[in-house]
Amino acid sequence: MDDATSEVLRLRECVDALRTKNSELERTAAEMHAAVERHENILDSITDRVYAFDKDWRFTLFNKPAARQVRELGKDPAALIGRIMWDEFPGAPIEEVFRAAMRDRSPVAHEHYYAPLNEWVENRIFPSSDGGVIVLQSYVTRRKRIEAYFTEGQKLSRTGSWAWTVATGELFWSDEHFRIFGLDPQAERPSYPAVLQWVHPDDRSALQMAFEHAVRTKGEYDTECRIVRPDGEVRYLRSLARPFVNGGGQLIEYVGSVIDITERKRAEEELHTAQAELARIMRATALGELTASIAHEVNQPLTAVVTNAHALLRWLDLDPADLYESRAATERIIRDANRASAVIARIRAFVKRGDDRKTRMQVKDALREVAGLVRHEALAQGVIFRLELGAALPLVLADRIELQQVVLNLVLNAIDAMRAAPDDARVLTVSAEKYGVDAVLVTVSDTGVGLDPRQRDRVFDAFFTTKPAGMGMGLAIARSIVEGHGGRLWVAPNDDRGETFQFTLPIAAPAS
Amino acid sequence: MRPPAATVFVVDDDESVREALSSLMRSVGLRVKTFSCGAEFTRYEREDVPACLVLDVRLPGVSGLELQRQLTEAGTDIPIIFVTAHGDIPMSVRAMKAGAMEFLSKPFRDQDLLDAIEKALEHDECARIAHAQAAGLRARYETLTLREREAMACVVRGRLNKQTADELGITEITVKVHRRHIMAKMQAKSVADLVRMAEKLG
Repeated sequence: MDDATSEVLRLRECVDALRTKNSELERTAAEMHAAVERHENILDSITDRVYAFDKDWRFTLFNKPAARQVRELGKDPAALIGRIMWDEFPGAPIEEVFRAAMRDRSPVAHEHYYAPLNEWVENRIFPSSDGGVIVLQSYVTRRKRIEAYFTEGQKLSRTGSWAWTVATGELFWSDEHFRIFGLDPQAERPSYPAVLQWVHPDDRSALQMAFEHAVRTKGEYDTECRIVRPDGEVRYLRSLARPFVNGGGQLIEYVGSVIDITERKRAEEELHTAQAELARIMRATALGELTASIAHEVNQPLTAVVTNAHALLRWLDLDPADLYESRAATERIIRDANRASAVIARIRAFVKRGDDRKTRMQVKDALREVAGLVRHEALAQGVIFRLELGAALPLVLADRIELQQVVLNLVLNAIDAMRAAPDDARVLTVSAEKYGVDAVLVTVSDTGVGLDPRQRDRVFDAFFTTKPAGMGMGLAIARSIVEGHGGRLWVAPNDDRGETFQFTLPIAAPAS
Repeated sequence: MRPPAATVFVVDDDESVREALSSLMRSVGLRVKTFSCGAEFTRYEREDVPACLVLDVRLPGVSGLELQRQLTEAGTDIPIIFVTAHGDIPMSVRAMKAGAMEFLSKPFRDQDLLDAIEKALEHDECARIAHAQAAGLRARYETLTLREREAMACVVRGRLNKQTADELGITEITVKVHRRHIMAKMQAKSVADLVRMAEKLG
């Protein structure tokens, strides 16, 4: 082999080596290109906007969503690379936060409203290895809106939220929850023992029992209680909660709401007061209709008293005085005066404003007392009044005056209904009997003109009346009283003529 | 002046009032009998003595005013004193028109009631005497023969014996005999007396 030949061979080797190197380089370049493309694709597939800045706030990179945003702001993304952020977007409200992140080399998250885009944005700023920062920006307008709705909703509905982690006993409260309790969200850390302290002493043990029972049974709970705020104001709350249990059946957390129902409670109380007052007026009105009969009820014993007194004087004036007759007359005076007084006491009790006073009582006693009030009225209207009390009945838990009011109302309506009936067919029957296993049934039946079916559907409506001067409240009140006692009141036509009103009252639990 | 066996009847549905009225009346020596309703009173067989009725207007079943009407229809003219706890004017007018003696509101003054009772019993006594007199007169008239009754009718019309004889187609002598018999049987003291009797007989 000569030199030339060996030179050729060497060159050939060099060429081969260079070829090999070249193809390697080409392969590497292609791989690199692919990698860049892959990274760009990844960047572009991020829906958030990604911006990168070098340490001098020069734009070095942005993804497609970011480019779109830049165009929306009226700039060319390609021309922006290498430009300084603060020159392009002077006076941006985020400058200080961004600069701090760059300076401190620590990640920062920040939300703000960006007017040019009419969006709420959240920027998460991360320091990058080249000494610059990368900014990930998302639009949070929707989330912000939901948060605002939630906060507003909580405020408007006076509903606070809480969550209680079972394992740690940690308690989270929403701002509205703090507000309901009259507490400062910054200053107070809620805890279960603290909550119990704010609860009204009278409601504390009931709430504690309800909550601890729910935790024991991993059940939901729904209870009402009062709290005393730091300023001493008492609020009524309804508290509801649901348990969250993991796959293994272990109780993880309770999530609940407290609703400030003070206004509703007050409205209920006012309604109750108004109803009681209306009921009292209706009683007085009913008694007004009975004035003549009541006058009779009082006048009869008074007549007897006056006449006995006259007789007494005459027995004493005899010579000799008849002491036997005098004594008898005196005893009758005492008896009859007491009778008159009892009638008046009964009427006064009936007109007096009634507080809710339910006692265990015999329905029959109330029926007898009403009978005493209306007997003469029935007589005056030519109505035969039958009181059928039958066998012994169990006691009911009832407000005597209210019960009498219901019966009186039904009885007066019945007498009214019979005004137009023939003289010989006016029969009013009031009876009481056992109803099923747990109730007493009171029946008031007349032989009057009856109701037409459309009226029957509406008789219990407020302000519905078939009487020219009626208020239309009697039966509405009667029904609310009966329902307030846990009973029902209804009406049905009789087979032959007239209507039958019936109501039930639950039997009182045995005295403990 | 009160007849010894006079009786006051009381109808009132209230026992206290019945007892009190009974005591008051007994204290002044009146006989009294009480009833709780109208039916009880109408069923009761009364003695034939002067009486009056103290009656409550408002009664169960038959009312006081209704009882008054029933009694009038049955020809029982016992004087009635109404008492009521709530008498209105129309009601009292109705009662008085139907012949009630008095209408008192409860409670009443004892003297008012006792005066009314006194008056009612006197009224009943007089009515009884008048009734008895009328019954006697009627009985005497029944003893006259048909001819004598015809003759009496002429005499009380003021006919002379001759006119009567012509009218009846009998002699004057016979007319005179009839007149003597008529005056004796009717116990008339004079023709004027006979005329008064005829008026009463109607």
